[in-house]
Formats: sequence, C-alpha cells, structure tokens
Amino acid sequence: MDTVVDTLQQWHDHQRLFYATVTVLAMAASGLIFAFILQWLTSLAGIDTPSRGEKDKKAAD
Amino acid sequence: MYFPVAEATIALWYLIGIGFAIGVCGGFMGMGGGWILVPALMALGVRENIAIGTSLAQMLGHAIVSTSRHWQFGNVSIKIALVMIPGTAIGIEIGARILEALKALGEAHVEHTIGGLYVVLLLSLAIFVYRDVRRAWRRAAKANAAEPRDGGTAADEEKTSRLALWAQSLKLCPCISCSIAQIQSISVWVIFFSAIAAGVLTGLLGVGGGLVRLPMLIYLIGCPTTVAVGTDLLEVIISGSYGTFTHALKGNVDLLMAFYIFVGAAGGAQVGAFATRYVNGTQIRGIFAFVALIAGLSVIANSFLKMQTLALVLIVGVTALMALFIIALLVIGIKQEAADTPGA
Repeated sequence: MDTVVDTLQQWHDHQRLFYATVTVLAMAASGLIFAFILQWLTSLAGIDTPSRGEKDKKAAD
Repeated sequence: MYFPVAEATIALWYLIGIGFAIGVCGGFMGMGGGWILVPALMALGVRENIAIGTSLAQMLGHAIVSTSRHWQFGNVSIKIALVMIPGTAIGIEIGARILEALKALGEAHVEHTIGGLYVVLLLSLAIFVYRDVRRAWRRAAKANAAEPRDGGTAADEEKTSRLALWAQSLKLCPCISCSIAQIQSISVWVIFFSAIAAGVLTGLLGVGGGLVRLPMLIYLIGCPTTVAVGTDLLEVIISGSYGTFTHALKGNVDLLMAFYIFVGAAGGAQVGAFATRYVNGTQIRGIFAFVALIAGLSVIANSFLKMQTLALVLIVGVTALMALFIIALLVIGIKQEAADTPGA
C-alpha cells in the first residue's frame, strides 16, 4: 500500500500529465469493472433488469 | 488514513459512507453530487481545489456505474446526449469567462453575485418543481376518485409540460425523433441551445450539471423523468472526464481518496438506480424539489450568514436522510412487486 501511495505521490509531483492520464483511466476503468461485477452479481442473484420496451409490453399485458 | 496529496488524515468509513449516500441520491436523481461532497471534504480540512478535483474524479467512476444500470433499464437517450455534449462544453466556457469578468470587478462582488444567483436558481427550481408535483398529485387523486385502480396511480402517467410541447412544436431543421424519450420530433437547435444555457449556469456557478440539467431535460425537452436521469448521468461521464483531467493536471486530484469515495458511491448508485424502477416520475421530482430547497438554504447559511457548520449539517444530514428514504422506497417497491407477482 505504501508503495502505491509513494508512486502516486511521485507522479503527482513530477509527472503531472502522466498523473492526469492515469487518474482519468483509473477512475473510468474502476467504473467499468464495478459495473461489470455488479451486473454479473445481479444476474447471478436472478434479479431481472427489463428494458423499457419489455416493461411497456408487460404493462400492456 | 493519511492522504499525502490532500495532506489530510480521514477515516475510510467516512469516505465510503458519504460516497454511498451520494451514490444513492446520484443514481436516483441523476446527480454527480459535487455540491454535497465538496463542503463535506472541506469540513475535514481538505483544501477547496483538492476537494473539487477529487469530487469530479469519483463522479466519473460512479456515473459510469449508474449509467450502465440505467442503460439496462432503457433510460439513456444517446441521441439527446450527443446533441447536448457540444452545447454543454460551449456553455461551460461562456460561464467560466463571465466568472472571470466578474472576478475582475472584485472577489467580494463575485461571492455575493454568484451566491445570490445560486440561491435564486435553486429556490426557483424547488418552487417550480414542487408546484408541478402538487398538480400531478391532484390530477392523480381526481383520476383515482373517478376510476379507482388496482395497482399504481394516475400519477404514473407523466404529462409533458406546456413549455416542452411548445419547444417540440418548433420545426427548426434538423429535427430528430427519440423513441426512448417518447419524443416524436424535436429540433436539434432546441436541445443544443438548452444545453448551452445549462452549461453557462454550470460554468458560472461551479455546480455539476444535475441540478440544472435534470429539470431542463424534463420541462424543456420533454423527457420522462427516468430518461432524464439516465441521459443526465451520461452527460456527467463526459463532463466528469474533462473536469478530472484538467484538475489532475493542476494537481487538484487525490486519486486514492477519490477511489475510496467511489467504492461507496458505486454501491449506492446501484441502489439509487434500482429504486427508480419502483417509483414514478412525480416521486423523483418531489424528492428533487426538496433537495434543491435544502441546497438553496445551505448556500444562504454558507455564503450570506457565514454559518459553515450549519450549511454542512444541512447538506450531509439531508443527503443521509434522502439516501435512507430512497432505500426505504426500494424495499417497499420490491415487497409490493413480490406480493403482486402471481404465485408469489
């Protein structure tokens, strides 16, 4: 953990452009990974996530 | 835990907890939550520039999680978002330049002008949306009295505002249709110039888009509330990416802190997004009106009465309460669905 903190601190202090790129990519990747994991977990739990069309069809039925 | 970029020691449970509450409200109302997180971090000794940059970074992550969920629910209109993006960027630039021009007149001048404008905007939004919600509830009550229904109320049927109907009747080419937003035809220019107007306010007031864009999408463009939430969140990804990059270049982002807040927010965003399945648009707008009112009061307390603690308690307290309320709505909705399912 300390190594991660030190590395980030070093990039922040000396390589700003690289730090900015890593920040955006890290947060975007974290978002995508979390979205994927949570989607997988909900499908595993059997929770259906119907699209609007399906919902409307169900309501019409 | 000590965060060297922010030069502050903050308990992880606080970051994850506040992230969770912001995530719940964000997933439910299509907000980034910067207006809640920035004062909450500043109260712990984080400098304002770091608080803003870190807030934008976590916003980017949690908006991706929320948008993916809303995408599954069919709540994201790519067409409208694509037209809005350039308009928002131009508007933010115009707003930032107006702010610079105001700053040239003097810092104190800026604080009061911006604070005043912010309060007027938030309170007007709160009153406008509240009146609309009250009308919808009355309509629902009348309709239910005339023809009682087994499940749901007439409030479930959203009525397009008169302003949106007028905007949709303007036939300035090119026009687009959008089946997700249930819009048969709307001029691209209406969406573009609306986005510029929202962008100007965002750039001028320094708030994320949610507070301004959500009512604009509902009342001016004519999107159903849930579609407005999903489309707004897609916009938050774009503005969040740009904001994170520019702030990180200036050294204003603590990546590690942003990540811990994001962990809480990602979980909360799922809860908020799921809750939109079990409530109708009127309920979302009603909660939005209440949040806008509290945000306005907190700005009055912070900028005009100089009562920072009261402002913080108002924001954090109401966010936590709203998160609990939304979770309760979700639990009630799930129970009701289970009871309504045949054979359950």
